[in-house]
Amino acid sequence: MVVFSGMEFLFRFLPIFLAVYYITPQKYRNTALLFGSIVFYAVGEPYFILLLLAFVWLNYILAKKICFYETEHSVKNKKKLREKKLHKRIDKKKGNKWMITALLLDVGLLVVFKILGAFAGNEALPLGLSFYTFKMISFQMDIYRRDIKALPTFKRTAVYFMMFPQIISGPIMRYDEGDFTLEKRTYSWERIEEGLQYFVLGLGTKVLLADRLAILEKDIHTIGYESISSPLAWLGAVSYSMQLYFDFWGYSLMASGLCVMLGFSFIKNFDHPYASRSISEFWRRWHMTLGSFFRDYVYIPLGGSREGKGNTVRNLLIVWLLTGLWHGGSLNFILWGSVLFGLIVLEKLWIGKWLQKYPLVGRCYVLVLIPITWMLFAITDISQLGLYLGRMFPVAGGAGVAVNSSDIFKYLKMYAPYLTAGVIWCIPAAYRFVEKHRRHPAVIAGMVCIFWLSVYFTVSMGNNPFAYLKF
Amino acid sequence: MKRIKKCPLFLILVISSVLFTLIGIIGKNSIYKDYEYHFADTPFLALTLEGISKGEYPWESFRYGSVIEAVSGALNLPIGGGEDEALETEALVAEGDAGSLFEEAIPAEDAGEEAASDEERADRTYDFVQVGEEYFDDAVFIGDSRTVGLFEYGGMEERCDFFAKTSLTIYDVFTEPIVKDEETGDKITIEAALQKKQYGKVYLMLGINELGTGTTETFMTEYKKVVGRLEELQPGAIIFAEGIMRVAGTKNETDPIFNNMNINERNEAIEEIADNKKIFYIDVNEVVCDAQGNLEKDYTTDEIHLKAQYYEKWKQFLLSKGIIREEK
Repeated sequence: MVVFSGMEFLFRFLPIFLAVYYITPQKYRNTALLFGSIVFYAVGEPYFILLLLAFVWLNYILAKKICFYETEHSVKNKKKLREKKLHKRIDKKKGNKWMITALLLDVGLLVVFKILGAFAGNEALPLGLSFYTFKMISFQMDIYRRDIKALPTFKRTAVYFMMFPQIISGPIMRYDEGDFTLEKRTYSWERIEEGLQYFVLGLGTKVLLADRLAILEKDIHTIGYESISSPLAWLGAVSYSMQLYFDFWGYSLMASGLCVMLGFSFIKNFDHPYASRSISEFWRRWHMTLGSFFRDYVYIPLGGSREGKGNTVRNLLIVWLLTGLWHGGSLNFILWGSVLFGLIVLEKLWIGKWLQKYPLVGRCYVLVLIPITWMLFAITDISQLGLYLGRMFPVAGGAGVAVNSSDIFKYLKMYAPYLTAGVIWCIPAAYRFVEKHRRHPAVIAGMVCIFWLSVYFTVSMGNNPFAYLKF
Repeated sequence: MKRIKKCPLFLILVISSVLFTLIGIIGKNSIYKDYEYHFADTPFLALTLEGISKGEYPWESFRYGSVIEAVSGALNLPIGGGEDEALETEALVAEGDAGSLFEEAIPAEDAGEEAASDEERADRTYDFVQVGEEYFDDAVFIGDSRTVGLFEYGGMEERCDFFAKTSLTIYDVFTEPIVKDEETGDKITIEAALQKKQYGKVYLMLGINELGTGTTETFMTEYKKVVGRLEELQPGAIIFAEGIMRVAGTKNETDPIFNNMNINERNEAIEEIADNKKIFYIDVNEVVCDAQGNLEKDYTTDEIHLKAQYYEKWKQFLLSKGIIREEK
């Protein structure tokens, strides 16, 4: 049920939840959302739900300790506020202490399970752990820095941490980006329609593009990396770059679409990254909520780029190693993070301005380099990774030999519709066109088709895109 | 009316979902009654969509009886029964998606020259001998994705014909239009293709996709039918009934259906139909399996298919299992 593209979610959880949510009087909608989210998570993780609830509670207790100055209720009372402010000066140190405790706790939870996961396999990881711990860290930091003006109520905090559209894979929304104060939320049929449209676009992006291209990845794996031709290795890298993008962007669109349907604002997580002109720009437009998390809670507190070149490079290194580790504990992720770090430093110190001056060069540079970095990300086995890169660059003494040198034609032909549609869907103008004409009957009709085609694919092939790979 | 303008997509999706659900509920006991369905796992409209994926459209629920007959007739199958349902899924699901690896068979240049067998030859049995690659010049390979792999990476595509397609089964081997007709360019069935051209050797490896369908007995009934028909169509050909290639260790231990116990059971049954006169049983597992009898794990990444470079082993194995019947 925890898969947005699954039948149970689409035709059971979602309609029932929406009905309950909208029947509930506005006043109690946060409660409805909280219970809905608990049910949603508990179905996927009947045991780890307890861990999540415990951490929600713990984090709230700690936030209360950090946020000694004012609560939502006391803000209204100015006199009381003045007293609290006086109080603040005395308790500043205490706040620091609790802040550190909260960070150690949340980071510790993430690290412990990541290590467990590295040994016991990813099944040992609680669903959505990487995302909800990041929300918790961001919440504590914002409370501490008073970016959140007043301590929210427990219910709002719990809804923020646990809301089902974002619990599995983000976006890592900030507390103040979410309209948890009920008056701020806007409800209307137009909002539901708008949210549903984003959801359907996301569903199609994931099921009709990402899941199809995933089969090419699997095919190449079956052949064995040592035996593919170099053109096929490149095709595989390009296809994987699109697959990963469509999978995550599709998911993010679905998640944000759901939020809009519930009356929240749309959270942007991707901004057509493949149209970037530099790697730094790419990473400002890819998984934007993660990027801004590291920027606001790691890079800038470390000094950002204001304290000389040496410190800037050090801060970037820390950010990119952490980014690598967050995605996975194996060596290839560290390698991946390091390569990105190298490229970004290169841009920051030398070629960045030049790339911006010649946009065409910048675009080509991004489109060639990013697929290579994605292969570092995708292939967790280092020797296999070596083989694959060897096939991409056979001149560099790469291992292996193509058993069928014209294999590329077969796969190009087979995947042509998906690859073509994928390339078009990467172009910002294509998406903007749909967005602009979203009220047009033809676009609506297209979305109806996308929705049912996606559901049809899901039913006839099972939730697992590989389940229908017959022998 | 106003609301329709405000949220057309929402309303269309809600109405169509309700409609599909109703069809699912109505059809549950009629057209979809053979489908495996558990309310706890999936909503009713899954039935409707599953039906569409199998070519059984919702409106057919109104004239139920006659339609099932027609559908089954077209597929050349007995009516009803869980087995048929399963194989229909396999056959139809594979069509038109990116997963069907290969749909065309590439014909070789020269036709088989072997003459029809003589009376006196018919009684003799033969032993395997080592042969050269030219042995494949008048051969045809029939099979599923594994044979597709042999076509792509065995380096034999210039010499012989391959009538192979991902997810091909013993049940649809003669009914699937998968061979490209040289003259018209149309897709024709293997049966039609075998009527057009005579071969000296027919290699047949099918059976893994059917592991979840029926029993070894029902499988063998069909297998014998197919081999019998091959003999009729290709009276001069040697028929190599290839044992089903096994799967690797992890798959073997974890998969309740696609495991080596089931494969071995069917292979033993296939072996029994060999008469060593015209039909020969060969088992490639002899060269691609480890000591435990599982597909060597270094030879595969998905536990089922050989990696490209190891198709050479299969080819060398075939060359070691040649049958030469003297002409005079």
